[in-house]
Amino acid sequence: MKFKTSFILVALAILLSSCIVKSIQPFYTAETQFYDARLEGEYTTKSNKTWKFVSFKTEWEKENQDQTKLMKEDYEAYERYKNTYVVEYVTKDDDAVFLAMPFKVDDHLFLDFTPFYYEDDGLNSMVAQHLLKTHSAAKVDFNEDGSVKLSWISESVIKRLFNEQKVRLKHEKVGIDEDLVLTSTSEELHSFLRKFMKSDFENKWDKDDILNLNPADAKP
Amino acid sequence: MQNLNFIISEKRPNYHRPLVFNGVLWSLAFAILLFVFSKGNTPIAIDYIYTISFIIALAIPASLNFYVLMPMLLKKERYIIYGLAFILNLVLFAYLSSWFLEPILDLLFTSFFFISYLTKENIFLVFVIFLVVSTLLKLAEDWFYFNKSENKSLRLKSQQYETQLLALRAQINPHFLFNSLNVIYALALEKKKGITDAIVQLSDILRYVIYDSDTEKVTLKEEIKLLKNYIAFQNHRVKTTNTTDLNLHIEDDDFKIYPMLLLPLLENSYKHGIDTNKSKQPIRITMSQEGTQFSFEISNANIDTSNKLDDKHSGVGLENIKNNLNLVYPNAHQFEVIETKNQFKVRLTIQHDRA
Repeated sequence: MKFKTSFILVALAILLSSCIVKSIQPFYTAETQFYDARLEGEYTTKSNKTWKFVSFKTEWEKENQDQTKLMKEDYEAYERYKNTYVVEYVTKDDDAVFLAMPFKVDDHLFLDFTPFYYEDDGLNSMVAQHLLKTHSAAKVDFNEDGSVKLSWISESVIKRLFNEQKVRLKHEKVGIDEDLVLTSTSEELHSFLRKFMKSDFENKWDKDDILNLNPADAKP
Repeated sequence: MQNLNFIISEKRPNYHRPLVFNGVLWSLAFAILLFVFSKGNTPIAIDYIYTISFIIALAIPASLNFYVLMPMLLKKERYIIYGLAFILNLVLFAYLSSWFLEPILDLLFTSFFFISYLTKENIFLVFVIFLVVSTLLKLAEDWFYFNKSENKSLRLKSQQYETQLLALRAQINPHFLFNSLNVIYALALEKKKGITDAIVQLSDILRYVIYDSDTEKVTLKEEIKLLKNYIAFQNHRVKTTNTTDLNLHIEDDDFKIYPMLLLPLLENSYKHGIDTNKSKQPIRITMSQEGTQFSFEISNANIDTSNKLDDKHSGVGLENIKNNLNLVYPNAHQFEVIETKNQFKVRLTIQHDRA
């Protein structure tokens, strides 16, 4: 069982973080947050995985009806994340929870994902202490049929820009595998996304990092 | 007297090398900014583009400052207006660059991402630092060339004085020779025995005049020998004896003075103060030296005689001496000419430690 849990986590890691760009700082700023209620709901993917988007505000209010128990830090956390979605990612074996902050890059809606909770029962405690909850950015497109397309910024695309010496963006290469981690400020990351959306170059989006979510109640 | 005062040009030559100054300044700025923009890493293509663009943005206010504001305001000592114009120039272009540099770059280089460079606040700061530092460098450069020009001007002035001095000396020599040849001529006419001695004495005098007078200083010993030689030479010409009374009070006969100051005075006394037929009053010379002070006094009868060979050229010797003294002993000499009905006296005092 222990082996099974570890396998799921590795699979999750491969799915969500092996090819997407990770950042220490969020991709959004206080000014660019933009909550879009259209995203709330439950979605499924072709591989029968479930994505559930719930308003953080709604969840928080539901769980904290008795507000006498709340501390100052709780209110601060609420203020900081009240515009996010709590995103539950469920597979048949396991699940994980993300905080996804919607924000605007000019006219485009983006989601800033950061892990909030994941099952780590099977994970070596020492390994767990070395993991860092980073941020990723995905562009959101609402399709006419009610489905949603999430397109993550790919690490391969950014690496290509770095190799072509066409981008100056603070970053580090960490670990044995030299994983790319952006270390720029949120303001710089937002500027980068603006320029990225305006630029027109080949293979801007890696198809491996595009996820199509269909409404769970949609008829096949 | 012939005008030997050279006009020293006050117009300073322009030694500025704008290409060198700008070459050094902008190369240095490029190197420093490239290092800053590449965050200490090996610069990549995008860093070069950003640095060159930033340099161009900086060059506009810097050039305005160098070639418009500084010459028109700072050099004309309009400091307050210059200060205000400098701030306006700085704020205007820093503001324009902070707002428009990146959008322009994005427009020109669509496939490049100029992200982790300078914030608007830092662009302002870099503009302030660069304009202040470059102004100080420009002032230092101006001072360097001003100093160089000043030194060259001083050297030129000194050279011109030297030329003036040489010209004065050159004027004294033929003047003396002219008088001496007249003496020899007079002796020859009279077929006097001492003519050979006179020629030898003249030869010694000329040796001094030609060779020794070119040295910077001569000793009193040499100067006295010359005077004695000249007196002996002149004795061939005049019929009266004891024409000259030479009194010497010399503490150090190696004391040095500028050459050819005394001989023209003696020459002048012989020319105007000796009447070969009438004069009973000898030429009196008192030469004294004590410590750093040297004085020479010469007096003769004031006779308007026929010895004056040519009225037009009379007084050339005294004028030359005055000019010489002003050049070689400025503010360290006194030269007095005292003329009465019966006597003509010249007094020269030199304070050597002030020379």
